[in-house]
Amino acid sequence: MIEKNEGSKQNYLLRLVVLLCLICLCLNCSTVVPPPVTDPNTASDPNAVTSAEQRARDAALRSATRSATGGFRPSLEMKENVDFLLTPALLMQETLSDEIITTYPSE
Amino acid sequence: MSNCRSKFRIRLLIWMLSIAILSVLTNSAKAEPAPVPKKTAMLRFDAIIELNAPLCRTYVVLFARYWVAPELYRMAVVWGEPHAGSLNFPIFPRSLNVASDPDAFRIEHQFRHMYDGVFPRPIGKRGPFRHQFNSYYFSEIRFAEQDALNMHIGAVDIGPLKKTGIYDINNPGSGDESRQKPARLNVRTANGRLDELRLLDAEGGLLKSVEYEYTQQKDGSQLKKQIVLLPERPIKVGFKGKGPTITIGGEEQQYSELETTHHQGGRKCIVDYKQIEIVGHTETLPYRITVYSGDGKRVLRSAKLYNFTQCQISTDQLEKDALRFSFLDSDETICREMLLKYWLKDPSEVAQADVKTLDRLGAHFADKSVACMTAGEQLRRVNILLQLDWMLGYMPQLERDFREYMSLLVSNDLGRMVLVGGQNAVEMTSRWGQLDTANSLLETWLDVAVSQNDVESVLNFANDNVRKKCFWTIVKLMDKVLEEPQLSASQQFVAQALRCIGLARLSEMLDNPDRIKTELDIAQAGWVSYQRSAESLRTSARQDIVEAKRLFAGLAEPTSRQKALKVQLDQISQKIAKAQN
Repeated sequence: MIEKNEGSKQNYLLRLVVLLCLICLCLNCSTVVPPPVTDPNTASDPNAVTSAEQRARDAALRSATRSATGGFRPSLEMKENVDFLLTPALLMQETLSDEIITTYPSE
Repeated sequence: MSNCRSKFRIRLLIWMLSIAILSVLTNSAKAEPAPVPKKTAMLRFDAIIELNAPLCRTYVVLFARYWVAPELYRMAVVWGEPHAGSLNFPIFPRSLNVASDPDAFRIEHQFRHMYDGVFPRPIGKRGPFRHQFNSYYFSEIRFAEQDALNMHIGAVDIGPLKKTGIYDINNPGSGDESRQKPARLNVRTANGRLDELRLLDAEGGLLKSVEYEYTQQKDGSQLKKQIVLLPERPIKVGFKGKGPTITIGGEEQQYSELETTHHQGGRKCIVDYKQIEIVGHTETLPYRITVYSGDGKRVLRSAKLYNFTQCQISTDQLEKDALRFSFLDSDETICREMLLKYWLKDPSEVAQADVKTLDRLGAHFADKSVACMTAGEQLRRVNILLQLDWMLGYMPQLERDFREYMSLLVSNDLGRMVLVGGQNAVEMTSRWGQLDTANSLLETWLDVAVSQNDVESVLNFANDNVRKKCFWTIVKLMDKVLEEPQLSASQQFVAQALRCIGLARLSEMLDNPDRIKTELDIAQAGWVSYQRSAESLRTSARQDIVEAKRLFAGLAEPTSRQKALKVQLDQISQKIAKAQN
């Protein structure tokens, strides 16, 4: 029983990995993800099917999001650097104030 | 008799009226005294800010002055490096001013006004992040201040510290939605001192953790270091237009906003404190801020704070001082206008009247005392001198000014900027058509660059610059690196491979002059062809390939970068063989 369950998990993981690879290949601005594959071992349990489908959908959405938001990363890097210009002033204000605990004004 | 009385009454009336008018005038004078500007005690200091952008592979240094009081502050940027080439920042940083007081947040620039503005308080919410591909509006810096204020922890929020222990406190301000404060604080104390503070959200997730280290002094313990950990956090990003369509299982959905990760991998920030004497008394103040990637391996940015002093100053005077410090004065403005007028022109094209003006400016800036100047002001001065030398074609002077530029960077511990800024100035000299001087500057640059940087930093810089197609300076830099006696086999391979790639690309460039498009490539090809032929470059490349392949074969476990270089070498090898056939 344990072996069977482990086999099913491996099967499921393998399918999920294949699914994610496909997503990575297909994704651009418009993203098409194949329908989630249902594990035959859990097909008899409707709750398990729904949950597995949902997990696959979530994983697919996460992967699609990673691809679609890649262009924001260099700008987020720039935001951190720009915001850092205020850090010396804000940190010094914290240090000078008796009423504020000095933490760090995270940029 | 009645006449006398009436005259007396009239006089009395006039007297009373006079007294009344005088009294009103005196009172009104008292009610509106001449305005006396209110002076605030402020801490003033200078900062050298180093900014790395690993994704864009850039390195920028800003030189700024700060004035700080508990209720207000001001920042003025006096200089930014590298100057001769491109600088990765949303706006030309020189003359950028930011001022914050209880009424408003202000941004001002002398020449570029796209981000200028007065933002009254409340500043408002940042909203979804809408910038992509390295663009960013500088004016959004105002939200950084708001974010920091939201995370403030008041001394009253923590209350009196327990002598020793670890305990949780519910943060009283967290219910106020507009402030978005941390919901819970986890406090660790020892000997009545705060040793660690963890800021948690409503679900117990970590927002920020701060460890405090102290040093024991005669008058008690003083803060020595803060180690701050910032975990990854979600951030909402918004697309311009309708946003991407994502299809899952045949269901199409369009997303105008998505969630991504900010501070990917986390951040580790270290703030160093020391006792600093200011006008007769000592204060424990931060003097160095370093932000690392979460694993602590890579420095992302840093700030060195120095020149601390205290001043009593009115807000009007503060503005005047900040603008005088950071804005171009009339002579610098003339120099800027001349540079725009004679950009990359032959010195013989400069009008006689302008030659006189430029000579006067040259003498003015050369004689200017540097005794009281900050590092940024000195670099600003020497860069103006370089510009004047380029315009006037004063090459021996250019060599002297370039050496001063290099030594200024070295004396301010900016060895990495020697690589970036020095290369830009050398390439700029070649673009002005001064090839002999460019060669001479190149030798100076190579000596300083290699002596001030470790081999790995030089190789990383070279790798990035080969991608940016700066081939000739990198070929020469790799020549210099390969002369170093203590190179590992791995470093030798990378240096040999990068030199080979540079040589091969340059020979291709010289073979196909019609394909040369960019200004940099035109200048580079002209500079190289002045001293080498395409065939001689190819011959050198062939020799490098043989040597590099031998070195690669000896590497026990080549890294992914080394494997990528090997692939490029194979392609070059094939191309050269094809050309020979």
